Order: sequence, then C-alpha cells, then structure tokens
Amino acid sequence: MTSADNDLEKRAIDLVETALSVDEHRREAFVADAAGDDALLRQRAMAMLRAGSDGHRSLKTGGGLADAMSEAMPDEIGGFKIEREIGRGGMGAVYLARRPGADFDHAVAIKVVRSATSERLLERLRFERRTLAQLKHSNIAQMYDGGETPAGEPYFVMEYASGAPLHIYLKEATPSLAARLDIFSDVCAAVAYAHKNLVIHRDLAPSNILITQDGHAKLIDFGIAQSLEEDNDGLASALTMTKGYGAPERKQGAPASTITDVYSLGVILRDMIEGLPAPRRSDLEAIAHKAAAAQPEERYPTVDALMADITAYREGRAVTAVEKGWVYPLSRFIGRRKFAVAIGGLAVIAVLASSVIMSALYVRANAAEERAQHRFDEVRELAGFMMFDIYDDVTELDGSLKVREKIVATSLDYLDAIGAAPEAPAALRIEIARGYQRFAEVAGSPGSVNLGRRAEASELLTKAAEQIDFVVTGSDASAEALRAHAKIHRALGTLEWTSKGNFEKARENFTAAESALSRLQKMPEARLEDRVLDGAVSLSLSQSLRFLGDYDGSIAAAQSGVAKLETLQETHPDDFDTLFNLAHAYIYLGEASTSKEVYAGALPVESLPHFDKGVDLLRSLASAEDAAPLTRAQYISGLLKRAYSACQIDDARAGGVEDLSTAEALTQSILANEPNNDLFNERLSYILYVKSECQNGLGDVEAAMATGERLLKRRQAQTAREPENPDYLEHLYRIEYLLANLSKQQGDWPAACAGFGRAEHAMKRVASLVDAPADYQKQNLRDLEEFLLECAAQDL
Amino acid sequence: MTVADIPSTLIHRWRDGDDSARDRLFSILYSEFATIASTLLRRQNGPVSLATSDLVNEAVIRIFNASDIEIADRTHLLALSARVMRQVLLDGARRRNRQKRRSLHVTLTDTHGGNLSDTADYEALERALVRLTAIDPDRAEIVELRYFGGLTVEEIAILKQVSASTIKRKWEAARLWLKDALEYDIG
Repeated sequence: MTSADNDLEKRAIDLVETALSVDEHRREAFVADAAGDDALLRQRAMAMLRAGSDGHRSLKTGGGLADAMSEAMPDEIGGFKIEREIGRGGMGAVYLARRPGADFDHAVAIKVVRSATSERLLERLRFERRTLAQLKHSNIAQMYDGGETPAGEPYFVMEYASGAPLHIYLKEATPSLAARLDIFSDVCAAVAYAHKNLVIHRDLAPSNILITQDGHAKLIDFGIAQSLEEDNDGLASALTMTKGYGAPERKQGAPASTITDVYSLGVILRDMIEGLPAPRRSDLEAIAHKAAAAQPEERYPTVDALMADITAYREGRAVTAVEKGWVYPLSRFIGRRKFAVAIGGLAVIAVLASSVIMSALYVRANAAEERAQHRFDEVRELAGFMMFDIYDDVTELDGSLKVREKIVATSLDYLDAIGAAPEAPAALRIEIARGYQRFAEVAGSPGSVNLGRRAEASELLTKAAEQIDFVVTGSDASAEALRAHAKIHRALGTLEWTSKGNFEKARENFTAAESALSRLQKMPEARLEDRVLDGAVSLSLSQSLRFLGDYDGSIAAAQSGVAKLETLQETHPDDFDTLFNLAHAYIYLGEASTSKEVYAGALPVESLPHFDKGVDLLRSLASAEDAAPLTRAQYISGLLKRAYSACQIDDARAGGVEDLSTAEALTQSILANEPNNDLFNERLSYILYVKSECQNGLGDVEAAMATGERLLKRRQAQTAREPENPDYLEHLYRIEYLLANLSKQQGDWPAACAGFGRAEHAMKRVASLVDAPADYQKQNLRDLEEFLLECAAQDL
Repeated sequence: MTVADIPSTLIHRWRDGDDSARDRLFSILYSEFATIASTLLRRQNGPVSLATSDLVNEAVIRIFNASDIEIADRTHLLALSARVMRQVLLDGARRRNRQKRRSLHVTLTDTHGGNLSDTADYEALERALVRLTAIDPDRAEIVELRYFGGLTVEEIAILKQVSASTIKRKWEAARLWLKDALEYDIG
C-alpha cells in the first residue's frame, strides 16, 4: 500500500461523499464530470457507488454485535447434533449435523433462518419446506425435514452435499468445454424440474451450485429465499440475490419468476465459457446473451428452451438464439406450442397461459408510466403464473389435485387482472378468453359435473365471452378471433340451455356464434371444421327455438343446418363430423316439424321423412366396425325419436314398435358390458315406456302389459336404492298409472284400482319431497282422485 | 480491585490524560463485554437482537455506578466501548476461523450456504478498517463508533465536535468504500 494509493482512495471517498448529496440517478454523471481526466479516480469512485447500489450485507448502525449474534452456534437442532458451522449468509447460518449414533453418511446440512420474525413469514416457510421436500432430483440437494427451534427460528434439514462451488471449481479444475456444458445441462435440468414443480430458485449463482467429487452439479439453497423476500418486499430482495446474477427487473422490484431464473442461468453460462476456446463460439455466446437479455421478453421463455439451444449447439445444429429477426420470440414459441396443443389435451392451458404472460409482459413494457404501480401489482402475479406451461406435466403427478386447484385459482386471478387492462391487444384477449373457456371446460366437464361447478363454468364462460366480444366488435376481427368467439358462445348457449333451462339466453348465444361463423366462412382462413361448426350451431339454434315455441324459426334453422351440411357432404362425403352432424340436422328438422304439427293439432306426418334420412345415416355410421359408443348412442336416440312420432300415426305405429325393439336390443347389449351406465339405464326405461304405450296403440294390450311389467321391475329396483329420489318416484307413478290404465282397459278393475292407489301414493311422496308441487303434478293427483272415486263406485 | 481500579476513578484519570487508565478501562470492559456477548451468543431462546448501545449501557451499569458518570464521560466511554467491542468480535472471529482452518483438509470444499461477500467476516472487515484508518482515520473512527459501538450520528457529532450532517455524509461514504473493499477482499 503506497501513500499514492491512499491518496487516491482518500480523494475517491471525498468525491463519493460529495456525490451523495446529488440525486441518486445523477451521481454517476456527477462523478464522471468531477473526475475529469483522472481515469483512476473515476474508476474508484464509480466502483464505490456501484457497491452501494447492490444490496449485499451493509454495515448497519450497531450491526457489529447483531451480525455476530447470527453466528451463535446451537448444540442441537431437531434431534440432530450440530457438528460445526459450514456457512453463513444474510439469512442465517448453515451447520453440519448428524443424528447421534449415525455414521457420517447420514450427515445433514441444517440451515437456520435467523431473520424470520412474523407469524406470516413462518407460515410461508413451513409451506416452502413442504414444497421443497417434494423436490427429488439428483442435481438438487434434497430437503428432508424442518421445523422451528425452541426460539422460533425456522430451520431446514437438507442433504449434506460436499463439493466445490462452481466458480472455485472452474478456477481450480479448469474443466473442458464438454465438461462445462455437462455441468450447465445438469443445472438447467434441475432448474427446469423445479419449475415444473412450481418452485423458483431465486438466487441462482455459482456459489449455490456445488460440483461434487464425480463432477456432477448439485443445486443448494433452493427457493428458501422466496418466503423471506415476499415478507419484506423490495427490502430483502437485494439480500436474496447474488450480485450480478439477479435479473435487472428485480432491482425495479419485479418478483422472481422462472424467467428471472433463466436470466441467472444465462449469466452463469457466460461465466462458464468466458475466455474458453470453443467451436462456433459466437453461437454459444449468443445463447448466453439471449438467456441473460436485459428485457425479459427477449430471453428464452423457459429453461427447456434454453436447454434445447444448448443441445442444438452441441449437436452442431443452428441455435435459435442467432436466428435473424428475433424481434418477438414468443410468438414463434407460442405458434410452435399451439401445434402440440391440438394433440395434447390439457396442454392447452399451459400454452395459452404462457403466451398470455408473455404478451402481458410485452404490454406492460409499453404501459404508461403513471400506471406503473398498478401494473407492478399485476406483474407480481406472474411469478406463480410463469409455471403454467407445465400444468399438463403436473397433472401426471400423484396427488396433484391441490396443486392444480392452486394453479387454476392463480390463473383465474391473473386472467381477471390482465383482462381488465384496456390496452390489452386483440391477440392477448383471445388468449385470455380461451383461458377462461378451458377452465370452464375443466369445471363443467362430465365426471365432475354438479350444479356448483356448472355455475362456475357458466361464470367463466361469461368472462370469456366478455373478452372475445371486445375483440370481434370491430370489422377487422381475425379468423382466429371469430372462431374462438363462435366456440365460446356456443358453449355458453349450451350451458344456459342444459343447466339453467334458459332457452332465450341460449338462443342469443347461438345466434351470436352463428353470425361470427358466417363472417368466418367468407375468409380464406375458414377450415372444414369451421364449416361443420357453422352447421352444428344452426342445429343448436334450431333446438333452442323449438324449446322457445318458435317452431317455424326452429324448422328454418334446422333447414339451414341441413343445407350447409349437405353442401359439405358433397365435397367431403367421407368426413365423419360432417355426416354425423348432417344426421342430427335431419333428426332435429324432424323434431321441429313434429313439434309444429303436434302444436297445430295435427299428426306429425311430415316429420317422418326427415327422421328416416337421419336414422339411415346414423345406422350406417353406427354399423361401422370402429363406431364410437357415442355414435351408437345417437343411433339409439334417433330410433327413439322417430318412434315417438311414428307411434302417434296409425299407419306408422308398427314401424315405431320395430324401432323401439331395435333400440331396446341395442341398449341391452351396451348394458351387458356396462351394467352401471346410468345414461343407458335411463334410456332403456324410456324405451320400454314408449314401447308399452305404442304397443297399446297397436291394440296389443298383452304385449303392452308385458313391456310395462318389465319396466316396473326396473323402476322398483331403482327406487328401492334411492327411495327419496323424486325423479324415480315420478317415473314409478307414470308406470303404475300406465299399467293401471291398461288393466282398466281390459276390465280388470281390482288390478287397475290397486295400480291407481300405488300411483297416488308415489305422486304424494313426490309432492312431499319437492318444495312446491308443479301444476301438472297437482293435476295428476286430481286425475287420480277421480279414478279412485270410480274404483270406489265399482266396489259399490 | 484497588481504589485506583475503581472504574469511575479510571474515567476521571483517563479524561485527565492518563493513558494507562484508559488501558485498564479497556481490559475491564473487554472482559465484561466478552462475557455478556458470549452469553448472548450462546442463548438460543432470544431475544436475538440487543442493540450494541444497549449492551454497552448494560456493561456500563454493571461496571460503574451509573450516577457517577457525566454525559461527556459517557460519550467517551461509548467510544472506548466501540473499540472494545471491535476487539471482542474480532478475537471471536479469529478463534472460529482457526477452528475452521484446523479442519481444512476435510472441509476445504464445504460451502453449503452463503458466500464470502455476504458473510459477517470480522477478519476481512478488520483488514479493511485498518486500511481505511491509513487512508482516512477520521472516517474509520466513525465506522468503528457506529458499527461496533452503536453510537447514533448525534452522539458521534458530540464526540467529534462537528455537525450531525457531516457525520452522516462521512459515514455513508465510508460505508460505500468498505462495501467495495469487502467485495474484493480475498483474505
């Protein structure tokens, strides 16, 4: 140390001291100006200013003792005997410990968090501990256990990993490029795995990567920083970041996320290849540069994407990092992933979520400054959200339900938040809308159907509709937007109809879907599936109009559906969806026609040709060897609908009974394989009921009685299982009533009267079980009273 | 303890320029601080944070009859306490580090946990402080008073007979220099 050195240092401190009285953002300029030509002075003063800008351990007033206090070494923690201290950090200390009596192999590292104070923070650490305990990866130091010391300090018991920290290992072992990339791949694999388990490291740095004796990387200190950080917001974030490895946006207070981990990995890669001769070095540098890009949206969106480029580099393929015109890399990423979505079911949530995030980040980057704080709050949600491209992976894991629920909840919060941003671009809104739609499908899907969930599905679809309506109101809506609009409104309409019985709302939604689809058909992007959907939506509209009593409208809509699908049939005679929907179009036209004729007091004669076309087509589809169960079910349904009309017409009644017998046999064969299939059990009962009536209409009372008796046995068994089910009881009433009438027709008064008595009993139970008996139920009881009076008269 | 060793007497003698009195005070304070500090450091059930100034006060109350001490004396005593504390902590750190070095052949690669730069490494801090004393003794003393002694800016201002704002600026600048120095300290 020369006096010249000391003099320089003295002048540098003096200069910094003066600079401190200047506004913070002007200090560097001030120093540069004041130092003039004195490069050394400027360099030293700048170094000092920068030392202050990152937040490592700072010397606090009276900190001397406080810092020492954090070193106090306990004798025992959680049944482990503390051997010695092996590290100290801003948060606490790490000790080597082992179970008394256990050999050295069972040595563990125990990290004690000293700065945890609030109950909220402790709660988070507990949660964190449970999460981390689930991370099991050969490149991550395993978390075993944890708890709180008698003094209330949380501690973590972790796998004791011995090895050199990466930066020291690189310096001392000078590994080859291949070995370095192996290590880096280890690290990436570990981080990617953690991300898939919804854990962010938050402080990826060479000091947190140990290289074991056999040259493998072991990540330590996973995620522990998180809870501390969240508790203290910006204050501790500097504490939990290692200088130079934390993403720049974190200094602005952005939360840690998978994308900030990607940044840290980029800097680590840069360190690892620094000054090393490498083939196609510029590619390698480009990868590191891209991962550590200052702007989050310029980075690799996921660790997997970063790894893919490393692999590409190692295999001599082109790396995406040097792709030309990489302006908005996410769009390409999303585009690629969407393809996978078509194949991969739930993956869709993942993809749209990640694209939403990225677009959202992009939006935010451009957002007006006065709303920065508001934006910031929303971006905070990103931290958890970033992980959503792994939703599908999570579903594969055992016991993932809770995690998935959490994902859904967070996602919805997030969708709500960004959906409210008025400047959200159309593409983003489409993704948001699809997000809601997907979650609605999850909520309302068969198997998880109950009313509460359906209400939830309905709410989600309504939100989806709000977003998508916003997009398609303009005349320049994209094909994609129109497609999404049609699907969402169709789904909403169906839900309004099936779960709420709100046919008017259903009609509105179907009409909206239809108009979007007709716009879409005029665009070159229109696909076959769009045209099929167009036909199908006309059918949905037809159904809702029929339920609303607008039979002419219903017929017109069904005819429109038939026309659209027949046109498609000409060009795509083998397309299953086209034919399946066309068959339904005929059936629906038949139903609309039946309703109109019956309402007008006529027989449904005109409907039969439509039913014939539909049933013929369904039969050919259902007779295919690989016919799906749904197709066979629809064929049965078609037969039943035709029979329902046919049985009202004298000339057609015999055909109706034949249809019903066919339907019965098909249903029985399905039930032989699946005896507990509720749908087909219900359907069989209905078939038998109609068949009995139809047989009676044909004048074959004995056959009608036999069918009725079979039906009664089925229903009695069902009702015995659920004696309080008003639906079953009402069915029972109908059957008893039907059979009693048949007995009466045959002049068997004792049987008829006994039957009416049982029917009355069943209907009275129904009335007692429902909140308020419907008018028809009251009428039924009055009718029964008359019959029973008649019975009483017979006795006299 | 002889009459000459009565702490309040020692303070008076020190104030009158008797350096041996100061040294004697130092050693009394040292043993007292070391005892209190070591008790605190061993205590697992907290309270974890006792401010340094509280500790000094506690020591002062234990060593002296508090009413015997005038304000000006108290300030000098605090300054001396800061020096004592610095020594106590440094010695403790050296002891621990010696233990670590003894087991170096086993633990060479043990780095579970924090890295050097965010560790309260009193040996490194001591090296930096010694260097700062060579560069600017005034600022080094302020650091000692604040960091080890827990003195407030106002107390240091009284002690050094300058304005509080001057002390504050000097402290900030010295702190930046130290942080920079500690970053590049390689032991």
